Amino acid sequence: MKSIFTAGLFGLCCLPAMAQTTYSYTDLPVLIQASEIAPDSQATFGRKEAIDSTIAVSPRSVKLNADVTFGAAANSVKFNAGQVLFGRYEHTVWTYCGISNMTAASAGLNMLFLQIPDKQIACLHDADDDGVFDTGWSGGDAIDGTNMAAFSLYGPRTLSAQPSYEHVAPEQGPGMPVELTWAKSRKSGVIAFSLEVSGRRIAQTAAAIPAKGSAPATFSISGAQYELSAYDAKEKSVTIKVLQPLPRRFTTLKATRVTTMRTTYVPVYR
Amino acid sequence: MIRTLPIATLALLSACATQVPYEDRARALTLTWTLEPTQSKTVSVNASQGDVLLTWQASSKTSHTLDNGEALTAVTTPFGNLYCSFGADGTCYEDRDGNDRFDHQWTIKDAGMRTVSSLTARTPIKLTVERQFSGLSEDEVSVTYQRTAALVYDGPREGVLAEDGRTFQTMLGQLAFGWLDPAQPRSPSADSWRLIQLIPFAILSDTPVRTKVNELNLIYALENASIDGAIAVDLEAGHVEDYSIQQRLSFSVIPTEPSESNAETSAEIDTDMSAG
Repeated sequence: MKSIFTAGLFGLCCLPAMAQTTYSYTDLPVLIQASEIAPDSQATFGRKEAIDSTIAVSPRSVKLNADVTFGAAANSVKFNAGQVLFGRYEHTVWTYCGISNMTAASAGLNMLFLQIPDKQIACLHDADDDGVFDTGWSGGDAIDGTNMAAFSLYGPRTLSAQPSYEHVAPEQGPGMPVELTWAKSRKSGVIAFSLEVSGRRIAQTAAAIPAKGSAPATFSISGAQYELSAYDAKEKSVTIKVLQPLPRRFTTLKATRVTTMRTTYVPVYR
Repeated sequence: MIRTLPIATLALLSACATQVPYEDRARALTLTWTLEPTQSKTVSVNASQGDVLLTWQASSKTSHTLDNGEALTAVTTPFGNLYCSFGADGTCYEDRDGNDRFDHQWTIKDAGMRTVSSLTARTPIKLTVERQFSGLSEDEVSVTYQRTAALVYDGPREGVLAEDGRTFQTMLGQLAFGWLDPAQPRSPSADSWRLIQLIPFAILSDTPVRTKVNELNLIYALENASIDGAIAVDLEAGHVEDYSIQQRLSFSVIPTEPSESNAETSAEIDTDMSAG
């Protein structure tokens, strides 16, 4: 008990905090492509069905002209010739990144010993802007297979070869899914609409469920416009008419990562 | 055990209470700079996102002299002025009691080497013998410390696209003003670049808006911009005295038609886009 008291005092005033939260931020400039849904079309959508969808791409993309590998065995990555990488801009510098294919050796090592997720962001940098990549950079764990957010880059790492590359149209680059989804609160007659990029909400709005026989409710989100005609409580579905589908636009997404480190002090009895 | 426990507890509590007094804690140094553009003062630039548009030679000048003749520069800190010399290892002095004599001495690690990082004075020691100092006259002032400042196109943030789908009809973007180490290429780890402030950069109509950043004596007019980061911009930079990186920037819009108005100021934009 005394030891616990002392440990408690020690922990309270002299040791680092028991839980420490750090926030990391990164900006993703993206080009949201125009939706291909036809204006004036009307449909009924169940829960988790996207009302409108498109993709968001980086404003810059490049195509690799040769294979390249970099990194130590445990986390080495490989990009293949012909692969299109997305542009990442930070600290006044462009790098070109992909959600990497782990090499067979590193994937095996990771699975067996290190428990490292197999989706990693890896980037290439051309320091002298001569059309040839000079160094490799690790961007950490990918949030998922499509999310381009890399919060910081670690490197430089030597490349197996220095591959040349060529710029391609942004549309040819990797895309993050953009979806307009809906949800209804149990306690209100309002439908909430969210625009999500790779499952992360970037915009939201709401519309009241129109009473039977009354005019549809119009709502706008990210330059698009829709009509909410009806909500079917039994089927849990909404009927939506597209007035103006998601337009092509340029925006900057702010991604945030919250990391909480917890330290547990265990009293030791001797 | 029972006897030692209260003693140990007291020792722990006293250790907790021991803190470095605020006046002795490390202090960030804010110098006052003279900025001189290093290239033609008026340029039309076709550039790309991340390109350096302009550079300045930033010089900090001596303002005081120590009793042994060593030249010093007055530097602002959160807790009063320090007076510093910048060699490979810099030294600062402080007149803490305001009797016109230095009573404390500080050190600046790597003062002469770190061309882009912030300078911090650390570990003050109380001088056993106070040292006299005096101000320099205008003709005795010399350059003591130099860096390179740069203006980089930092890209678009939001924009509405024109019909061609590539260029912006309207755009809100930003310029980045910061320290640059010209001896090293910029890299993703930002070793040779340090942001000082962001400057808003916009296309609001078909007519380019000439905007002046008053504290930097910089005028820019963005002609066009596209989604891949290409821009065409007119820039005009002039000499600047007494610039501090902590200054809040103010902006003036300059009328494009001289016949419409002879006045330089027509509107002021309030912004909070600063960092670093």
